[in-house]
Parts: sequence; C-alpha cells; structure tokens
Amino acid sequence: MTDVKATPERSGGAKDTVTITVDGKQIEAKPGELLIQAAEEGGVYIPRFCWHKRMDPVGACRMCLVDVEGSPPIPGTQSRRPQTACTTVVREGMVVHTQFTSDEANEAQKTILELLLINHPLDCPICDRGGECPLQDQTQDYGPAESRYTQQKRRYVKPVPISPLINLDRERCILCYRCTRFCEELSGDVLISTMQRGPEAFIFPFYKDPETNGHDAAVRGPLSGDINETFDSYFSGNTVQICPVGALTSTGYRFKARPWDMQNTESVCNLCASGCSIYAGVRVQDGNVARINAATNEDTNEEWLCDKGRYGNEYISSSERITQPWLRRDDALVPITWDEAFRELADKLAPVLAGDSDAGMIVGGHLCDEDYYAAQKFARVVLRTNNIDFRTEPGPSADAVVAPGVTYDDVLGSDLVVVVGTDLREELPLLFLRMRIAASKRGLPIALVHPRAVSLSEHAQLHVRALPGAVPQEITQALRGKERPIVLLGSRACSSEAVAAWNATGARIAWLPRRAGVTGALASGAHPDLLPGWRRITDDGDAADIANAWHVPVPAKAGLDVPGMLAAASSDLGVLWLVGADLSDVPGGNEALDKARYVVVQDVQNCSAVDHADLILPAATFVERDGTLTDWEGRRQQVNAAVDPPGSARADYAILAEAARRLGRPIGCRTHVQVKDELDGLLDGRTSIGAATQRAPEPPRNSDGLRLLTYRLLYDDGARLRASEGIRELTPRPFAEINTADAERLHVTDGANVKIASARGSITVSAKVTDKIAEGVVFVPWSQWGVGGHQLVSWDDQNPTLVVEAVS
Amino acid sequence: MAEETLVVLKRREMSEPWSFQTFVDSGGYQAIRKAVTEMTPEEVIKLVQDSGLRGRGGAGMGTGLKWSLIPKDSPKARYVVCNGDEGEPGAFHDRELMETDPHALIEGMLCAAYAIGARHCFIYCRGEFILARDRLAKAIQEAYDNNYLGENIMGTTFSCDMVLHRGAGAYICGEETALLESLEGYRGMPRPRPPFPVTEGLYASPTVVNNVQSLQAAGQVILNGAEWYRRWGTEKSPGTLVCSVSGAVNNPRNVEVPLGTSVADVLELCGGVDDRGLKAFAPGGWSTPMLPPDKLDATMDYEGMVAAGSVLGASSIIAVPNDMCIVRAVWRGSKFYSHESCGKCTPCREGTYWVERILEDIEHGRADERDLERLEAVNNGMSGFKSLCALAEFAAGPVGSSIVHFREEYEEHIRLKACPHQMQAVAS
Ligand SMILES: Cc1cc2nc3c(=O)[nH]c(=O)nc-3n(C[C@H](O)[C@H](O)[C@H](O)COP(=O)(O)O)c2cc1C
Ligand code: SF4
Ligand code: SF4
Ligand code: SF4
Ligand code: FES
Repeated sequence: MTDVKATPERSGGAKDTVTITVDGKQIEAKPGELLIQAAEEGGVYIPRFCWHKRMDPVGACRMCLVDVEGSPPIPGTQSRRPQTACTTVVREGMVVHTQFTSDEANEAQKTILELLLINHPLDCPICDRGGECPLQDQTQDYGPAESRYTQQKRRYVKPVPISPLINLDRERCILCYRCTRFCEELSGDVLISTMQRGPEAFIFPFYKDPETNGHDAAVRGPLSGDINETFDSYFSGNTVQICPVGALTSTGYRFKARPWDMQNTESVCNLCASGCSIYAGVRVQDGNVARINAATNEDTNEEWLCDKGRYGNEYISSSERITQPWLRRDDALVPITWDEAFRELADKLAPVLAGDSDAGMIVGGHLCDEDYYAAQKFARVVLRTNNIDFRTEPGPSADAVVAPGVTYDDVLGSDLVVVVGTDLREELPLLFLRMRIAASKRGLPIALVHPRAVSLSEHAQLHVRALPGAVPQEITQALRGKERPIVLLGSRACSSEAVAAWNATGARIAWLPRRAGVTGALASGAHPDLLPGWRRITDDGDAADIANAWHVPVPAKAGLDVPGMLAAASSDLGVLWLVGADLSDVPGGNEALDKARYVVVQDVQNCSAVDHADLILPAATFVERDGTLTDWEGRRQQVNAAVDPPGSARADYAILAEAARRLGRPIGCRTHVQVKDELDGLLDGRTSIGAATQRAPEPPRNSDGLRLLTYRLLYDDGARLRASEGIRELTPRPFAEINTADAERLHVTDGANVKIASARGSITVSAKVTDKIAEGVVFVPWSQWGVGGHQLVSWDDQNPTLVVEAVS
Repeated sequence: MAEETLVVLKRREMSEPWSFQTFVDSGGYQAIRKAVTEMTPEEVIKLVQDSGLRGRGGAGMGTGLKWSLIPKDSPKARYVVCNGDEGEPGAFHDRELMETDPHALIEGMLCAAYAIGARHCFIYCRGEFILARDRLAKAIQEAYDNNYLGENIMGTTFSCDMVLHRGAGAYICGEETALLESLEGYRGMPRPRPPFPVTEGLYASPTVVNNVQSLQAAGQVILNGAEWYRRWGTEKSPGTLVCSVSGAVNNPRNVEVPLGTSVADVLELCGGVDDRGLKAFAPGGWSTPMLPPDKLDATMDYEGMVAAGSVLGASSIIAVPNDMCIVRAVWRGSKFYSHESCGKCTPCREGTYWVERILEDIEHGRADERDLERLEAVNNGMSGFKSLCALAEFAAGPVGSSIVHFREEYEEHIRLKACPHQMQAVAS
C-alpha cells in the first residue's frame, strides 16, 4: 500500500527544489527554506548572531545582511536595500550577493559588527567565551581593528547570578534573543525576558512584583532574591551553550578553564535514559572535567541537555570520591590495597563458592551495559546464584518487560502518542523537551494518563486523570484508526495486565525506564528471571543457550529480587554485594543493611551504604572508562573515557572480572571490548520478551480513602546529585500535593503542614493545595531532603491508602 | 491665497460633531449602507483603488491595493486594525480626527471589514488620548445600540464587532507589526516582514492595518465615488490631506488641504511664519529630513516631498524658528529616539544610543572634530535600511539632514567648545 499523504500530488514538472544563485554559485534549496541556511548548505557561510536553526528567525542582530537582486532601491543611491538572510525565504531564480561578492553587503555587516562592539566591554581576557566566541571570531574575520568611540559605554553590575547555575553579564549581551527564544519556543519555561527598551534593554528574570518596577535596583545594585524570580528551568544551561557571547555563563565553569586548554571527549550522559550525547570537556593541566556540553545528535538530543546532565556531574571531582579499597576493622574503616581486598573477598566468599551459603548482588541503575553483563555473569558463574537485580525502584516484572524498539523519530512522527503514568519532564527530560517542541511547533497529538497536571498536560488533546495501571477507554478509543499510534508506558504503569490491554489496541508500545542503565540491565540479564539477550531463565532452550556460551550451567534455583535480597541479607545471604546501588531511599534498604551479615559496597563515592559496608571497592565514573549505554529506545551508544579514574578506582566490569579471576572462576570480560563482544554475540539482534511470573505492581484499588502517588523528581536526593551545589539549591523541599476538595474536607490549607501516614510509615510535609491533582490522590515526591514517598510505600503497594491530617 | 478643503474634517465646525445624532444627520453611515446593500466586496475594493487614496500613516501605500492583498482563499479569520497610536513628534491630526468624528472612523472600518470579509475590528488608540478614547468608546456603544455594529448590521447579513484598545505609551507601537504584537499582549517590538500583516497579521491571520485618516477618507470615497475624490490633489497623490503645523507659525493647528499644496501655502493657512523667522522645517514630523527655507515651494504630496529631498511622512510640518540652536534641537530629538527605540535590532539600539551621546557632547562643548566624523559614521551606520523597522531611519533623518544644511553650526560648537546660542543667552 502506498501512503498517499506522504507523496503530495504535484503538477507536472514542478520541482521539489528551488535554484538560487549565491555569489555566482548555483544552489539547490528546499522550498520554504531560509536563505541563510540554504547558502550554508551550499557552502556559503553568512555571518549571524541571532539566527539559530532550531528556532524561529527574529531578524534582530542584522549581521546577516546581504544584497538580493530585485530588492527595493535605496532612494538617491545606486544600491538596493540590504536584506537579512535569516528572514528571507528562497525563491526560484533568486540571485544573492553576500559579503564575499558585494561591497554593500560587506560594508553593512562591518557596520553592524562595529555597532555591536562599541558598547561591548571587550573583556575577552576574563570572559569564559574567549576563544570560542562568535563575536570575537567575526571581529577578527570582518571587523574593525579598534573602536573609535570614546563616550561612556553602558554599565551594568557585572555578572549577576540569575540562578544558582547561571550568571548573566549584561554588558556583554548583544540582545540576540536566543536565550529568551529558547525559553519561549523550546523549553516553555518563560522565566527570562527583555526588560526596559531601546539602548537600555536587557535580559533578566521577571520581577516578582510587576507593580513595583525592580528596574533601578536591578541595574544599580546586585540582584536580590527579593526582587526577581529565579531562572529555575531544567533546561537553563542550553541558553549558556547557545549564547553567542559570554553574557550567560555557568556558575560551575566560570574561570575554570579556557577553551584552548580543553580537550573534549564525546560520550553519553548517564543521568537518565534519554541517551543524550555530550562532550566532556577536560582541562588539560589538571585532568579535571571542567564542563559537560551537549554534542549534536539528531537522533536523540538534537543539541540540548537538561541541567541535571549538564551540571549534575560535580561528584566526579568531589572530595567524596572513593579512591582506594577500604576494609572495616574493629568498627573503623581502614585503607587497604586491591590485593588485600581480593584476599578478603576470597575469604568471605569461600563458603559461597563451596555452596554452603548464598550471596546476592544489587546493581544500580546507571551502569554501562558491560557492567551489568559482568555482574550477572559473576553472580551466575562465580557465586552460582540468580540473586541479581537492579530494580531498587518499582520496575517491570519480566512478564511485563516491553523490549525497546520505538525511537524518538517514531514518537515525534506518530499520529497519537499516549503517555501513561509518567511525568516525562521529571523522568526523561530530553524526551519531554523533544515532544514539547513537536507539540508546540507542529501540533504533535498527545494523550495523557496521569493523576496530576504534568508538564505535557498543556499540550495534550486528552488527559485522563487516573492512577498508574489504568487503561482508560476514552484513550483506547482515541487510538482506534490511527496509523502510527504509540503508547509510552512509565515504569509505574507497567503491570502485565496493563501491557496486555495496551497491546490489544494495536499501538506500538515502549516502556520508559527512568534510569540510564535499565535497558542495558534487562538486555544483559541483570535480573533474577532474565538471562542475557532478553532470554527467560524458565525457558529451557534459553538457559541452554547461555550454558553453552559460558560452558557452565545456569543456576537452577529461582533468584531473589531486591526486596527478597533485603529480607534475606540478615539470614540466608552470607554476602550482599552492592554495585553502584544506593539504598538510602529504597523501602527497607537501610534497615536491611543494618542487619546484613556482610556488605560489599562497590561505588564511586561515599553514600549511606558506606556506613554499613564491610568492604569498599572504588569504582570509576562514566567519564573515566569506556563502555556502552542503552537508552530508552534500545539505542546503544558509546561511552568514552575522558580522564583517568582517581587513585586506584576501576571500571565496575573490570573489578568483577578481576575478582572472578582471583576467586578461580574467571568470567573473561577483562576489557570492555571483550565484554561487549560477548554480550553482542548473545544479543544477536534479539529484542524478545522474557516471561516469568513475578510480582507486578498491584493495580490500584478503588477505595474511598486517599491514595498515594509517588515518584522521583529530576532534582532529588540522589547521592551523586548532592555534590552539585547549584542543583542542590534548586532542589525542591518535600511537599504533598492534594486536591482542593480533599483539602477542604480534611481542613488542610495551602502551605500548612500535613501529616501523612500509610501502613508503613508517616511523614510531615507542607501541603500544596491545588486542582492540578485528581481528587482522591495525594502526590508526594519520592525523596527530597531526606523525606518522601519512599517512607510510605512498601514493595507490595506502591499506591497505599493514606490517612492525612492537618498539623497545627 | 490657499484655502482649506474640508473632507475628512468636514464636521469640524458642527455642534457636537462626535455625537451619533450629528453624524447621521450629516450623512453618516450612508457609506456602509451603500457598500453593504449595493456593492460586492470586490466592487468596494475596486472603488477605493480607483480613487487613488493612499495610506496616511507614512508609507503611502494604496489603501485599496492593501485591501486587495488579503488572500481570498485563506481559511483563517481576517481582521481590520486601525492605527490610532499617533506618536510622531509634531503630529496631532489623528487625534483631532478621532476626537471630532469618531463615528466616521467606525464607518470607515466597517467599510474595510466588509471589503475584506472581517468579522472583528480593533482600534489601537494612543494611551494618552483620553478624550479620543472616551469619545470612541461612546461612539462604539452608540453604534452597537443602533445596529451599526454587532449582528446583522442594518438588518443585513453583515455582522461586525469592534474593540477599542489603549496603547501604553510607546512610539514604536505605531509601527504596524509592533502594534499587532502589543495588541496580542506581547512587548511592542516589530516583527520581520515578510510576512506582511495582509497575510500574517493579528494572531497570524490576514489583517489590514490602516491609519485613522486613511479609513475615514475611504468612507468618504465609497459614499461619493472615485472621481469625486480625484477632484483634489495630484495624479499620483489624489485627494486631501490633513497637515499638523507647529513651531514658528502664528496659528499652529491642523489644516486640511488638497495634496500638492505648497508648504508655503500651508504655513500661510496657519497665520504665516511668526516673528522669530524660519530656520528650517521638517515636512512630515520630526522624523523626516528637515529642509531649509528655500524649499518652501515643495508640495505636500508623496512625490513632491521626495523631489525636495525629504518625505511626506506624517504630513506634520514643524517650523524651526531662527533663534533655535539646531544642534540642541537635534540632540533633544535624539533623546526621543533612543528612548523610544524598542531595542530589538542592533543598528537602532546601538545607533540611537551613540548618536544621543555624541550630540550631547557637541552641544555641551565637550566634542572635537573627530566627534563630528563619528556622529556621521554612526548615523550612516544606523540608516541605509539595515534596521528591522523604519525607526532607525527616522532617527537618522534629522541628524543627517541637519548636518547637510547646518554643518557650520556643528563646527561652531566644536570650535567654541560651547553652544553659541547658550553663550548668547547668557550674554544678554
Ligand atoms: C516607528 C514607526 C511609527 C509609526 N507610527 C505610526 C502612527 O503613529 N500612526 C500610523 O498610522 N502609522 C504609523 N506608522 C506606519 C505604520 O507602520 C503603517 O505603515 C501604517 O499604520 C499603515 O497605515 P496606512 O496604510 O493607512 O498608512 C509608523 C511606522 C513606524 C516605523
Ligand atoms: S544573554 Fe546571550 S543569548 Fe541571551 S540575548 Fe544576550 S547575547 Fe543573546
Ligand atoms: S535528559 Fe537525561 S540523558 Fe539527557 S542530559 Fe538530562 S539526565 Fe542526561
Ligand atoms: S529599528 Fe529600532 S524600533 Fe525598529 S525594530 Fe530596530 S530597535 Fe526596534
Ligand atoms: S542572523 Fe539574521 S538578523 Fe541576526
């Protein structure tokens, strides 16, 4: 069948390109394309400051002035009016002369540059942009050598922190409106804007009270939190990256390095499963990661990052890093060598290797594919157990696992995307951003199932406010007759019943893991019921595949999941090994570690588990090792070492491979290429679903009581994130969101404290009374500043019934 | 001796010309009745085109031509917007037109709405025009009460609503695209053109933006015909024109004359140049290049003013008195432009800033010869159609033209390291 719509009818002979001539060169352009872009694609670069290909043109800087034949004349001269290439749409036969062939265009551009520079402070020597500044570059290429103006330039208070993450130096701003357009058109966080007008115009966060004009204070005095809102956007760092001068700078990067001192390594962010391409910029002199910038990747993040990915990596060079092995002796931790560490392991694991005792491994959610593969192989081959799991958060049971396969392009090209039970801005910020852009720019149809008005709500055609697990009829009906329907299931919505019901609609389904490593963990078999390559442990053929590959049998006994291991840590498990797993806000985590018989903590930095550790092994972070990461789509991308790990820290897979060798049951896997090849062989293009019966998140019951909804916010208590001061400052305090009607009934007022109790525990937090949440549901973020929903849920009940009372 | 020709100002001498009664008693709402009951929208557009009526807001585009550019096949709503933001220094005719004959504006807008198929009209009235606003508001209410606005106007199938919007004090909001941004509730900053408002205007829909006088004149044209209107004016600039006259004349006021009337005659209608004598005059508001007294023969029409080296602009003559320091006058004007520049584009934002500063230095005796060069350089830099809208051009006009005609006065400031006029004032 041919898709009629995809090939619009054309009248005979009409072309789908237009031919233009730029500086005598014929260029084939797309109809409707802007001249500046068409020229660039054809090899003629027209200078620009304000134009950015992912945003609407504004025609503000006037740097791209060119001479287009046929333009109206300038009265009294032989010249034509110059045209801005960024706002000019190509026309068949258009003849253009740029700065290379037209004196007028060249003069016009020079003039603009000079006008931009006469007010510019020229503090390049102390500017973070120096060396990679378009203004500096273009001045060098086209501009005048010296400024001929002696009058007073505009003065502003030098850098003003407009958020804990971002500084603004208004003297350097050339008012290109890239930052404000990013916020208006792309992120939707309209938090900065133009204040005043004319020569006095400047970019700034809004005044809190528009009635009292904060102008004078803002211009003369330092920024005061009493006067202005904070530029508190999850995407604020992108404005720094696209600012064509050094007006917007990152607090963390200020004066840290100069571009020419920096070596950039392309890699992938591992702070969520969005799969963003990054450049890790390392300062050559001291080998520190000075900044993370977005790399361009049209398949995933275009050229954007969220601020967590950009600024949330300060832990890499924090003093909390673990740089050598430690052993607990007489209640104190003492530094030891790797040799000693492996001897200690051999000692403690001897009963396990002899089959007299059991052990378990809990792996974190942000490791590389190779680490998961090595860990599960270590568990099965060395420890001879299936006690391995990554699901420290409610995750899919094996029977509900939906193999990836849906891509960003599929989602953005869909004719209805249903997003179920996930708050994308908090969980997969880049997927959110791309969907938001598609929705606002070209009306991507979106339907939501979520009890709260979440970030995508304002773009949703349909929003059913149901708890995760629900499969509302309105939505299944809306899916009918769609050509490219897609259902995106958040992890909380991923019960087997729900998956089956959504499957029945005929839509393509993708399950959205939040954490960066989860897809890799599943594909590698770091799950008690799954083997590498999405194989099911209960399937004899699958198990035989793996046994053949490894030349050892796959342990037969069913493995424990995370709650199972936590429960057994004080009894059956002689050793509990945590690989990059922070259990501080996992239900029952701290209690279990307290009572555990022997705890190995393999991690990059101090976390609460360290307090319970008997043996500590230092691991390398993702910028210190090679590997692959598999994003929510199943796209496997290369992680590249940018720096060496500190001290004697090593990559997780390498630690496990070495331990296996020392224990006399080698697993291979000594280099990441070895692990990768072995895993590749077992993946072999497989994306099928394992099936086993296991605890599925219980679908919410209909009861009269209030039900809890809890999930992580982007800025939460995560151990690594706590090292980033700026993000910490922006991390919300704990709260409970409650519907107005419920609040009225319970005499709860907005801003007052409420006590919230479930069968498992109780917390007191401040109430947010709003209609943005469905009646009967109370939302409490999972973990903020030590308090959160994790204290209320149990492993069996993610949506417990609550008792809520006002606290006076 | 020239005479006034009252066409759009024809109700000026009537009692309470702004009242509904006066209006209908003097032939009001007959144009829209004629259009809706006897003519097709195409015929209305054709008639206005034939009359040769040109926009009075400054650019002088054919009013009928503009209406004809509204796409016929667009599924979007169309809008008529009246530009009543009159902010040009020296201009005050739109204010008088709105104050004296608000119903004529409503009628003109109804004609435009009928011609282009608009259901909604907006009047963007300068915020400071309190009286005009009150009279317009009352007139709109009267029109609704008498079925000249709203559903099924005059019992026909034509329906139209009108909204009065007050500006908030920005000159730039008189520029049509900034006006539309402001009307939509955003910062008043011009949009890149194309797309022009006729294809993507208010709410990205086809929109006619017309000046007050253009719309009132269109109503007259529809009632009386193209030939009638062509009785006045020139071949390319037919009809009559209201000129605001201020400065060194004995009786500053608005006068309506046929296009093509000489500046000298217009000044004569205002009691002639006063005792101070004439040093120069700006023919179309301060934003149009000033001319020396030997150009008094220049005619008030689009072509005549270009031939004389200026433009018709807002047809508002500012007569600069002989004892006025030209540098000071231009400096004071430059403060207006840097204050009113919206700041969106580089040439205007930076140019107005530096022009003001250099002029201030020259006027206060702090400048040297290089500053005059710098002044010319920035002024040339900001002009030449490099800016996003014409404000930068407007700002550059008085500076450039005053240097051409009064260079020696600038040089004298620099030589004396002081303003000669100030010195004289101190001496006497
Ligand atoms: C800076 C600037 C200010 C303007 N102010 C006005 C104004 O106050 N009134 C007006 O009618 N047109 C003004 N214009 C012209 C308008 O942009 C537009 O050309 C006019 O409203 C069109 O109406 P017309 O075709 O009836 O002349 C201004 C233009 C510029 C660039
Ligand atoms: S801060 Fe940077 S991005 Fe924003 S307007 Fe100024 S120069 Fe442009
Ligand atoms: S969206 Fe996810 S992958 Fe992308 S930068 Fe943010 S945390 Fe990293
Ligand atoms: S010319 Fe001046 S008023 Fe017009 S857009 Fe540019 S800055 Fe704004
Ligand atoms: S790049 Fe075209 S105006 Fe700025």
